[in-house]
Amino acid sequence: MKALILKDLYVLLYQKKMLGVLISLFAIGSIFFGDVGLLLTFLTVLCLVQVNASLAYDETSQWNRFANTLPIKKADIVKSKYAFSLLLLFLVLVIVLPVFFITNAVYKSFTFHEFLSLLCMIMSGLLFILSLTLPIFIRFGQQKAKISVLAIIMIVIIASNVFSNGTFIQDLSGNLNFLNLVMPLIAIVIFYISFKIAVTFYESKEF
Amino acid sequence: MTYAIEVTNLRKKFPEFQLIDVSFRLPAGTIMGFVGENGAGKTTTIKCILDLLHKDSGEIKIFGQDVTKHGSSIKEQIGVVFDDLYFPDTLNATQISAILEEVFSTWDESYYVNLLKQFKIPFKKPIKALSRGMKMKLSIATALAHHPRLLILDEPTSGLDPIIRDEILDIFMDFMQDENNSILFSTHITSDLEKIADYITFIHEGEIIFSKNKDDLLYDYGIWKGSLEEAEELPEDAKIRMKKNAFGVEILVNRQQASHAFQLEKPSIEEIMLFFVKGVAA
Repeated sequence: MKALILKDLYVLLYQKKMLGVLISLFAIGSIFFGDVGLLLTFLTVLCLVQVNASLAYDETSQWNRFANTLPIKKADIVKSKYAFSLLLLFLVLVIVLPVFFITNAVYKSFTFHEFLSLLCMIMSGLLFILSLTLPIFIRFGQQKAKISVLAIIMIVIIASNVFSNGTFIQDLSGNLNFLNLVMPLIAIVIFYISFKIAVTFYESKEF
Repeated sequence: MTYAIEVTNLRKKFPEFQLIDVSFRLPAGTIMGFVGENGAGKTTTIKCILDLLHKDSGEIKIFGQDVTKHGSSIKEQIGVVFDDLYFPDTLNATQISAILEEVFSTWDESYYVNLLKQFKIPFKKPIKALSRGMKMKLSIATALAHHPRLLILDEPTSGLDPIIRDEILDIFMDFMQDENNSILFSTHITSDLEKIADYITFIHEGEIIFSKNKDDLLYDYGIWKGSLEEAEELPEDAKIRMKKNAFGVEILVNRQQASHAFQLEKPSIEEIMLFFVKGVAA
């Protein structure tokens, strides 16, 4: 599995200059405006984009066909994608935390508790989205997956609003403190279930 | 005799195409050319051998072991070359080595570096900046650097110029210096096989037409040319396939069944293939 993560990291590092410039710009912007949320939002989107890009690269280069001729278990190939996602999540934290401490030392815009809540919510949200997208990408490939993910998100939003008579967002905001506590746990469980489903999808695939 | 690959009654069905009872055996220490026109079933068979496609029925063994049950241990001992290099094109040769070093316990970095130098492949240039010939040589280097006992090659020379093809064939001949090594070489460039193959397996429309020793094959068959009337003098059981042309007919003949009085030309593998694909039953 180490080999597979290494491969994804090499692909990621190919864009190191551009990524370095963008991350630096957002970090400086966050410090300048006193809002770490800027950098956090950018890194969250970047994390999603990079995970999806690594799957897209694999598909374009037909990497999976080659990988399946190597002495690597199919489950490990899937596991490597989930591990790569978690590694990116960890890198987001490594980059965001120092910027938060610098910003907060100057502007004191968040208490640490507030920042932690925000972080929990965003990280959990990221895990939820990855839990949804990874198995779909693995099962259907990038083209069909993009449409499927969009359709699922829209269905969930519309259904939630229909069943809550349009008060879903207000209900969610009201319970935010409680949700911040349980969301990371739920996200981890869902991420694990997603991994198991992705393995089943991958094992039934032909290359 | 031990076999590197044994395929028995392999079946795989798609909506538009199927493999029907594909059977052949590659003796250890030999090169088998796997030939057939585009869409004949060569890649499908190879994918089933590598367990990239799930077979419907039949048995596939590599080094005497079932491929589906002993996949990992078998894959440690094989090298695979496809018709392209299936790595993300931003990677370079050095990074590929770092990746595969983590995959194969027998990865030999110094041998890999020697191969790169021999093939004049740049160490740090991304794949996307390499020519097609370079990519194929890099693909072969990655397949050889863990010292496999079996190479499975799926159209490795297609689209390459004759000079690069010749260099690549030399690499395979070097690999065969170890008499325990074997190669299954799928191609539709039959002239490559005439240079290096010991056995020829011919697949047509998902069925194996023959799987024979190359010398026996070229000795057993002959081509008779003449008019349709003259062709009636040939013994019926000697005639295999027939092609009509502007000057008369060409008949693929079994030499054992035809008298020496008939003048027969020695066929090439390509001509034999064409008789089966384009010709009709004689």
